[in-house]
Amino acid sequence: MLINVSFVCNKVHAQNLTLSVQSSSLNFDYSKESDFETSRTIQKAFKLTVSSRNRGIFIYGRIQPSANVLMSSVPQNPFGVKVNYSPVTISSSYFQPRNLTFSDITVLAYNSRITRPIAFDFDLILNPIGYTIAPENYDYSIIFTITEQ
Amino acid sequence: MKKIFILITVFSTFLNGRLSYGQGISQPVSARLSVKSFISMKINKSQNIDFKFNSTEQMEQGITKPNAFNVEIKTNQNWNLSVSSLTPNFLALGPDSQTLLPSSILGLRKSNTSSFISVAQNPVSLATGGRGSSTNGQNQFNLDLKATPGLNFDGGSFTLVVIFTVSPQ
Repeated sequence: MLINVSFVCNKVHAQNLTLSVQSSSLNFDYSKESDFETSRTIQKAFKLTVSSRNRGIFIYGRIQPSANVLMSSVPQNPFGVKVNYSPVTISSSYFQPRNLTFSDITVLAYNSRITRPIAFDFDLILNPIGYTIAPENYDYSIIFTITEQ
Repeated sequence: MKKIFILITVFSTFLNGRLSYGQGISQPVSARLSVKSFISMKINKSQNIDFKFNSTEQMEQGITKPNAFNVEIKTNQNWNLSVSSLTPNFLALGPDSQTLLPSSILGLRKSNTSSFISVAQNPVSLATGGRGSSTNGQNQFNLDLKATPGLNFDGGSFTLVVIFTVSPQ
């Protein structure tokens, strides 16, 4: 009977933390001089809907190139993100661009419980990639992770 | 004996709950960057490139205009810069210029290299390089210009359209 209690406990934690990501189409051309040399901002590229009934949250972001390419040959930091809209008060630093790398970086933290789902809008920043990257299609996964604080 | 068993089990349950706090939920989104082939070139004329020949020595030895052009190339591919003339001969200007002066009397070279390459109607390779911006030393350089008409042509005024073409290798 005590073992049963333990399983219920884990299930409650899983239900209490939710993450849903909606995004616009994320296909981007680099064809003009300005594409290679200046950053572009895609307004509200992501909508992250989250809830966390027990604790505050961290949201992390990272990128992962598709498996069929050499890591050394892909643009290393092509993307950044920043919060565009928050329905709750968060640190102003999250409204500033943060570059996504191959390791998780914190893109948002909120210190209170979120009992009902709320949605954060994120901008996507396309960093200039310069001219050292060979012409090619480069596929990535942008991975968002939510954890409890 | 029974009490000890219950205590251990409760402690185990507590640990299980604590560990789950660090677990997260991840969701991936796909994104694609389509990097297209790109080449751009700027050629700036750094000085007046009119040639005036006032002596036989100048006509035989030629006149050189060092660093006549500054070339800047931005590309994400290896490149080749070639030069050609629009016409096989200079265009004679004015009634006194009857001679068919060939474009080959004009030569170009990358500055700090030795030999000039004669300009012809067919493109001739002038320089090569790799991908990078114009701050990459290889992709920014000067060209020297030289004209050597010799003594076989009548005097006059002549003009020639020179075409620079940069293309992927």
